[in-house]
Amino acid sequence: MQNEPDLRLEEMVLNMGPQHPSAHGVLRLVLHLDGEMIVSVDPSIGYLHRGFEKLAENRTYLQFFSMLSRLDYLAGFFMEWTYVRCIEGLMEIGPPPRAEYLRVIAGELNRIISHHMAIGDYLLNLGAVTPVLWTFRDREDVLDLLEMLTGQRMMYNYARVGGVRYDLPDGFEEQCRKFLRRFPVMIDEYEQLITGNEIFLARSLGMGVITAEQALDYGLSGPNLRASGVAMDLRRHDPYSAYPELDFDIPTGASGDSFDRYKCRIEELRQSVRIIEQALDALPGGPVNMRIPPMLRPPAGAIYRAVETGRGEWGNYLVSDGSLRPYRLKMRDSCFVALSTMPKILPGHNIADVVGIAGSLDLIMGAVDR
Amino acid sequence: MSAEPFVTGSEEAAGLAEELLAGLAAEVYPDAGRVVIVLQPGRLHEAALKLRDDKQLSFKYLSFAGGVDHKDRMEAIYILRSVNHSVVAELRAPLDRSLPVAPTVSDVWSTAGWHERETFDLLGIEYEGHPDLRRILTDAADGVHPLRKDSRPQRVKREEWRFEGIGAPRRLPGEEERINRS
Amino acid sequence: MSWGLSFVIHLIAALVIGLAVPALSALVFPFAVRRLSGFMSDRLGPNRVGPAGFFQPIADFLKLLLKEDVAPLKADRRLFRLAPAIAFITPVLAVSVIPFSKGFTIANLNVGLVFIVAFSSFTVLGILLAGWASHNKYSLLGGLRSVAQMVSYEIPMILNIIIIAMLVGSLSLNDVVGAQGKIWFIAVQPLAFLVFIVAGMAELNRTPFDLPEAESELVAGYLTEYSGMRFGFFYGLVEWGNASIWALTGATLFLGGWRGPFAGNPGWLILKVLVLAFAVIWFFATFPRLQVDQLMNFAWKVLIPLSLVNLGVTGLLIILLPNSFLPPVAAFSWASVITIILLMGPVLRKALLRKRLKLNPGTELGTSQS
Repeated sequence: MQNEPDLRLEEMVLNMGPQHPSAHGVLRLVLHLDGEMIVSVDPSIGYLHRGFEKLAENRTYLQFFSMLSRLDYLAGFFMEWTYVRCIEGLMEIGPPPRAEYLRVIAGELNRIISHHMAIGDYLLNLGAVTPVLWTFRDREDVLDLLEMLTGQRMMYNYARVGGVRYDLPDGFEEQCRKFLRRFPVMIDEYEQLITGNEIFLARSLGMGVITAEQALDYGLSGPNLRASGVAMDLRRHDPYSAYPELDFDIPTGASGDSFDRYKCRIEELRQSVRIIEQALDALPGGPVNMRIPPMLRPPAGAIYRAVETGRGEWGNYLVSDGSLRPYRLKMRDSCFVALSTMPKILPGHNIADVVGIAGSLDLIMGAVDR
Repeated sequence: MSAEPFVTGSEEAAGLAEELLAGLAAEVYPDAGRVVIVLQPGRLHEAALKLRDDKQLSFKYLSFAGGVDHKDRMEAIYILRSVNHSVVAELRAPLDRSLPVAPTVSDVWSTAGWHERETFDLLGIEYEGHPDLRRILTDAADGVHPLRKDSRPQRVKREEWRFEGIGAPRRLPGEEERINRS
Repeated sequence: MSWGLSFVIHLIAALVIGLAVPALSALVFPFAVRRLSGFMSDRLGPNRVGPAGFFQPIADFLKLLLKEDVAPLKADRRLFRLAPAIAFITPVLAVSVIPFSKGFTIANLNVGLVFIVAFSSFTVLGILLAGWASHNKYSLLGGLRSVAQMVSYEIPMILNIIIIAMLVGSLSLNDVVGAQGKIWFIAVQPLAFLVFIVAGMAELNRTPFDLPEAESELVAGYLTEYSGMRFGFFYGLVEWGNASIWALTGATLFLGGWRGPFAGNPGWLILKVLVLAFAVIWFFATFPRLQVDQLMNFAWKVLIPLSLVNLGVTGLLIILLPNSFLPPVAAFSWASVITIILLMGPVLRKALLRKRLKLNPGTELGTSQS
């Protein structure tokens, strides 16, 4: 639109959040709007900042453990996994193979619930009410499995330095296999409801395009990166735990728009089913944890370990000075990074796309603010 | 980009990096599965560009930029990940603790923009040339950098709450009375 | 009977029916939405108050009635309070021309169709006032969206009402029902019925056109600042009252009004209204929401040309074959409906993919496996 020189058009500043139905917790976006078109975005975060990094410095290694799953509260096991990998790396010990497989099973179940939430929430942001309830219905089954395995639905405290807390409970394998047989049918059901819907296609195709170069430049990871066509998955790229022994595909998108991000998540659900099946088949015997000193004193040094969570790379940079407490624990979060792309990709889109694109990037403010 | 990364040991990668950064890095050594590159802050930017654009190593992916407060010095930390190989590198630049200043690498990797804001917020490291160096997580803690080892919990002075980012509505003459009356 | 007494009886009857229709729909439909969409998304919905939750709407109504009537400090109080009342004019008045059975119409106007169209525009005024007077940016955006949307979609709506008027040769709704003795107009003009449904969804602000109150973007649009019974007015009486008016009009125009097997009576009309209302709820549970620009494009580039072509062809056929125009009109209409249903999906997909290709060359639908 060509502005008349004497006609002053004002941009409207819309303060979206932190109290907003689709603020994903407490995300605040300061939008500058021209009509309904976005001119610029300034994400303002920190409303859920609880100072985890500082808290870690004031607690012993084991005391801090119970706080980890509060970071990304939708898939807390990954946080614990990364942390114990850091400590194990510093102490140069490795858990027994059965524990590695159990961690993979718990991790993939966590990935499923994380993607459930991502897909359901994305569709809810687009205004569809049913998908979120369908995914929650199946998420409940996974939560039951996780409760059997770890004793908790969300805050697991399952990983231990040198293993995991519990062995498989009786009946878990049977129930898990029953779920794994049923779940692909459910994924097809989601796809029938969502993927072919023309309105959904109109809302997601070509929205929030992130090219492969931009995605790497911005350090995106997880499904957001793979949707842009970069097949970088830490499970393959930087293999850890039992993943080298398991066979799975890395779904990638081609264009990096919201649709590809959604589609990648759907495909990853299927891959997670495959991984859990293989892990249950190949589950080795033996102990699930090892004796470690009750007062952990990892040797002095620094270490960086990362795992592939449902949202991308979650990394811990742990500096130990040989004392009882971590000297410095820096947590690298993929949602923080995904959010930092918003000022780049949002301008030119509509207000409606703000929530759409935020949903497709799968932000979780507990992890962003830390 | 291949799905199966060509896995290099961190020793081998350390050798490559040492060759690449000859004269820039003070020290290059493998440690706990990653390559640690220690260098002076003045050379950080040049080294970052070299590492990113190298065909062999291709550190196009910055995991994060952060820092560590050792009580006698500050360290700026950058964790890089190669897109071709299964290699993680750590750039480490020691800074003066009383006035920690590092050059920004947000023009090398855009993602550094927010990570540097966060480090500035939590540790007080100033990034020279950063386009938008504002506090990001703890806006209210003016002048306090919580992750410094000498910072203690303290009551944050709260201003009277007000809308930020929204200017007062423009009033036409006489509008004030109308609003008050109704 | 004297003229005066007849007038008073008429007035009382009109008021009772005019108020009963929106009041009943405000009680029945929100509850039906919650139960039915609950059923569609695999959950129960409200089932605690009374048998199967039947008293839930009454409990909600009492709650809304007892709530404090709050107006924002900076709102334009008078307009803020006036807006729900103005919007409420539509459902109360429009119901007066609907024939409920043979000879049972509150006001048998010979311009009944024009009357309905004219009064259905009053809602826009109320919503715009509500959006403007609330002194809230979300309300304002919602109000403006609503005006743009309802004004745009009124045009295809009116065009299709004109088609029916042409088929009947009269603007009186009694004549419309009378003309459907042999065959309902849905069989003659399915295309007009389709456009009527789509435009109606937009007129009523229902999914997939619920942009004025899109809760994931605009919190609640023009309703954001309303609470208590004023909210109840808008949400229950106006919205669902309008939905009833729309369904009553649709049933009268296309589904034969009060006609039915055995004997024509209001029961058949109510049944048809419930069927149409079920469609509204079904859409609500299935579709995501469109975007503003897509919404306007759809109205101006698809619905209006379609209606104009339909209008022109129908008019031409009526002039050419004044005695037996129904079969050719039906043939044309059915042919176009089938073509549209077959072509819409592929054409839309192709257009969207072309747009995506422009944004990021070298892309195709779906994801590749690596």
